[in-house]
Amino acid sequence: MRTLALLRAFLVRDFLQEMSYRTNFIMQWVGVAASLTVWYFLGSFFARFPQLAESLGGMDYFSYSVVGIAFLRYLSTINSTFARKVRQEQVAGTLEAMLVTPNSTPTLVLLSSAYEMLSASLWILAWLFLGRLFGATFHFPALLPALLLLGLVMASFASIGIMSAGMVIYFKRGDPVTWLLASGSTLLGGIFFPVSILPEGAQMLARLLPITHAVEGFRELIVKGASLADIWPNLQYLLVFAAIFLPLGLGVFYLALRRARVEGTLIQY
Amino acid sequence: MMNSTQDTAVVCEGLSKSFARRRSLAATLRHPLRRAGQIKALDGVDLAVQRGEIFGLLGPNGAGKTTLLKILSGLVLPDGGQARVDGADIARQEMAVRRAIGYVTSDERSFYWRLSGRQNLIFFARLFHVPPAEIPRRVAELLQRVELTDKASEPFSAFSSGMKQRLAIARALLHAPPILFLDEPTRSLDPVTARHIRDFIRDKLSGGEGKTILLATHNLHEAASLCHRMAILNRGRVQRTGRLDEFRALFAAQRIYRVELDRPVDLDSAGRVLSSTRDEASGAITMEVQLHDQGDDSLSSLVSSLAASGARVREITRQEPPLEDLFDRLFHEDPGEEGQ
Repeated sequence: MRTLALLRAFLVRDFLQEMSYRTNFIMQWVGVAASLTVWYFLGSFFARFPQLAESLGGMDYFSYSVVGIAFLRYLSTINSTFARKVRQEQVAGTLEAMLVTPNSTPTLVLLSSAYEMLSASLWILAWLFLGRLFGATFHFPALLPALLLLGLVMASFASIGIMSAGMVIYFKRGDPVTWLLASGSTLLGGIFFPVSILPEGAQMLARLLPITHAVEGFRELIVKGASLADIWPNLQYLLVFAAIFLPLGLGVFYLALRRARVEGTLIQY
Repeated sequence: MMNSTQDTAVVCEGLSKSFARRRSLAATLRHPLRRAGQIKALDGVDLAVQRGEIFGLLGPNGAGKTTLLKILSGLVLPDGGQARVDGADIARQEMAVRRAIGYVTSDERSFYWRLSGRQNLIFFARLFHVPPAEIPRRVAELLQRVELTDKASEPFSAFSSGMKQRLAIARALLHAPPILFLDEPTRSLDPVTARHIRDFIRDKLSGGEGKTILLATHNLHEAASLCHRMAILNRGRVQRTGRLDEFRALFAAQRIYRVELDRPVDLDSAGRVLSSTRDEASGAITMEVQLHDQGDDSLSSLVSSLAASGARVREITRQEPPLEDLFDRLFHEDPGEEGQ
């Protein structure tokens, strides 16, 4: 109950703050439609090359890229939100006021990011919905595999995000983890083009990235209407990734937090 | 085992804290393996703050006042020693400590600038686990107490420094803690606003509600007007603990008299002349004389010397040493010699 009340506090706070920047709020949603239009015409252009669908696993390019972009956005939000929120609170001077409330620091950091994660989820739903209106070939996915995949995607992405927040707490600036992962994922994650066209070494790297499996799994579910068995390998990989990196991320976070409290730099920026 | 009793709100024993000295990039490159030097922020601090008292932490900049408050609030971990706040061990019962304290800093930035004063308080009330049904009443009551009801719907960015500080005090009271840590609450406020805040602390928080208040300040007059007792900190060490009148008594031996005469006289036999000034318009001479010893005879000796000089005495008054002088002595005395 207490956690829910806290969650509500953070959601209301961030919603009110976002509403105070009205133009930005409106432009965000206008941007969704504008961006989809670009991809729609790009997809229409690529549709002139039927052999392209073969290398995309039988999908049209518009549907392929819409799912890829959705999860790239999800990845970048979840990866960066924890660190960004910590940094924002440090710079705004509100971190100290939050840390003297009777709540654990990880709880505060996780809940601080709840609004951005919710907002990113809504953005993705709107993006996919509008994508469907623009002509993407989407199926309503089977609920259980979709929820399983979504849960594992969040756990995998969050593990890196929590590690990154730890780095911001200790080093204040310079978060190489998020930057490397975002750049690597954009290039290698099968967002805009299939992994199969990459050189062999790059393909191996791509298979290590959680976004490759996240996007692949969701494309199977949404575009092809696949079953749980079809995406099982993706689920397995994400499970292993989360099992390794979630404890590691939390460990780095706690270590950084402790060092910052020992060195007295917790609220410095 | 710490000497913590039910009457003690805060107790510290041997609290120590050192911070690594920041090294320049050039120094790091020249000696990459050399360890950074340490700055001792707290050096074996022992304190006991009684329930219901306003206890001042007084010292110059860098004395360790803020570090001590941050350690007691759980924001910084000590290197050694132990402390209890409201009976809870700061190392093992962090949440109990945070429930027991309200922390007010002098940092104006500790609120969300685009939210209103009321919205900010509601957010922090939820963080302090105030029951949801009670939040509107509690927030309204506190806004009224800090006299911000009329301005509560305005964005925090539109608040003046005094309003921001009053809102910070209201936030610290949201969960009705028995203990308040106030870190230079009137710094950056104009004198009138600062006096209002001091009145509020003394009359309402301490006098009205019996809160225990640990006040860090380097404002001597603020400490003198608010604190029941105080600790003098310098370079992380407690120089002395006591009441202001006890501190004054320590230096009572320094009896200084201000004597106004119609002409200069030799008073060396009665005391040491600290200063002598002449008023050009009236020709009057004003001398500050520090008597040689504490006995009543020394004052008699001064009076005799004045009578023997034949000068007309216009006025003679006992001078209290200025607070600045008193605290300067206290800050710089050797605690090893004087003790606490």
